Amino acid sequence: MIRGLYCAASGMDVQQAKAESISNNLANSATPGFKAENIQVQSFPEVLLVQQGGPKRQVGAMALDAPQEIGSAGMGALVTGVPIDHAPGVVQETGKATDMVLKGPGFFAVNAPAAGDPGRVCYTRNGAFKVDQEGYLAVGSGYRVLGQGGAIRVEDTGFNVAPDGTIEAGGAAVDKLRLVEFDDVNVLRKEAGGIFVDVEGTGGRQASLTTVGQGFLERSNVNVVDEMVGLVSVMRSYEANQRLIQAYDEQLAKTVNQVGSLR
Amino acid sequence: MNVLRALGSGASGLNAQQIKVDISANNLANINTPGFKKSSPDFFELVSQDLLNSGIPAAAGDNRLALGSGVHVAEVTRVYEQGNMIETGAPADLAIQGEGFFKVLLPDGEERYTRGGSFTLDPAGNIVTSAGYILEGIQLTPGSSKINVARDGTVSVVNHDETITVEGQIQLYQFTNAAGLQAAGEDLYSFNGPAAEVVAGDPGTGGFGIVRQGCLEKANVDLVEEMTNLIEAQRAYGFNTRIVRTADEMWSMANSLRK
Repeated sequence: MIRGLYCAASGMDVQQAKAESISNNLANSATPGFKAENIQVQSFPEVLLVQQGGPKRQVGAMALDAPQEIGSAGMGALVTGVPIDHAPGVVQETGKATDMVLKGPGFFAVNAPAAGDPGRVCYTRNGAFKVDQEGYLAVGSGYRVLGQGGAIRVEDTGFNVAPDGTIEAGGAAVDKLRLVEFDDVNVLRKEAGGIFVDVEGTGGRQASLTTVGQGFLERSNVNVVDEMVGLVSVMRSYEANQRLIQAYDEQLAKTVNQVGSLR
Repeated sequence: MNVLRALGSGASGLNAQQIKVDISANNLANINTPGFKKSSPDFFELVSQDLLNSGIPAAAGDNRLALGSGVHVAEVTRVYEQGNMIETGAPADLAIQGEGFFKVLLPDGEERYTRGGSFTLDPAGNIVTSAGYILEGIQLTPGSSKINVARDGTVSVVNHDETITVEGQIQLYQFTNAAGLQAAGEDLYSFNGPAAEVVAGDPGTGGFGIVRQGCLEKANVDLVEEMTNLIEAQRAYGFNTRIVRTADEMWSMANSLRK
């Protein structure tokens, strides 16, 4: 069939993925610590079109058929990456003792148990913590925040956090938040609830550039203007691809119904 | 292939923002409720889904190709920070300055906790809330005229012959884990954690606040903050309606591929 038909169809699919990422970003425009994700699109491996025959090439006494390059042609588009934008979000003061913000590139470590790995350590920038029923500091989805000695038991919201992450309750140091930095944040994969998983198992390193602020939250880093503009361009691009498919369809209809008809 | 995911994300955003507006509305409606503590929603990103096998052409072998699918409200948390004090001069109005809750008893003996200290005296000599629930531990001699509540919670009355009789002691309650407190309506909270987590104490001792007679603690709702939240929620709601509309239009285009 006509190659362009499939190119245009893959274009529609890719624009759809873009629409999905934009909608997720906008839905989370008020989620603390949320990091926007984008769709990275690339064309399928391009193919070189070569014309057989073409002008004769003179080699000595012989005239040879020389293949002539016409140029390259794309075979449609595909999603090659969903890079996460790790830029910091705006900091908002909330005054809640359980709200914490990270100044710097680090992450809070949380215990996010997985099937077969109850001690799995994951990372988050969402510092909207709470004190759970058993008195442990936890993220909203229930995973416990980790300190140097495992989950941190603060008992109540009456605790203070020093910039270096030391948690002090009732005049005594309870624990110190485990803050982790990564040389390459691209090893992180997103999971539900603002949790990042270190897919390559690098483990990160003890934070040296990151400090903690208590009573503040990091807002989502979604730029709503960019997202809305992106949405318009997605729509139009989707529409253009749809028109292309219609045009090919009409072309095929002509081939089927008019070419070779005897009247 | 589905356009539904964008539709679903948009819808989840609409839902979340609606909850935010509901909470702001409740906070604002209670801005004049003594001792009221505001709430705020916690938003979380929904499950990430793999792009592979979702019908979208994607590079195979990269396990980071995943997209989130919207937002949800994990829970609604209450903010127990202190509200401002206003002086009312009413002798049975009590405010707690600092940590702690009053305990009141329901007619069926159930215990409730409150910081709304808008009390009155009933004919039997009890200090009662506006709904008639009795403040624990105080029984005044009926007919006593002038009631005096000290900062440490000691309740005394001035008799007709100008002598002073101590009638009781107001105790305050704290919880080792305030997450166990649940709003029970009428400005009251019930505690459903283990009884061992309830700590009683005299006002002004061991981390408890002091009692101030003739004062009321106002709601800790910040008008400006709530209005900002409302604007933010409304705009975010708008973005999400745009998403739903766009998803609908894209779907309609796909439907009209074949004329």
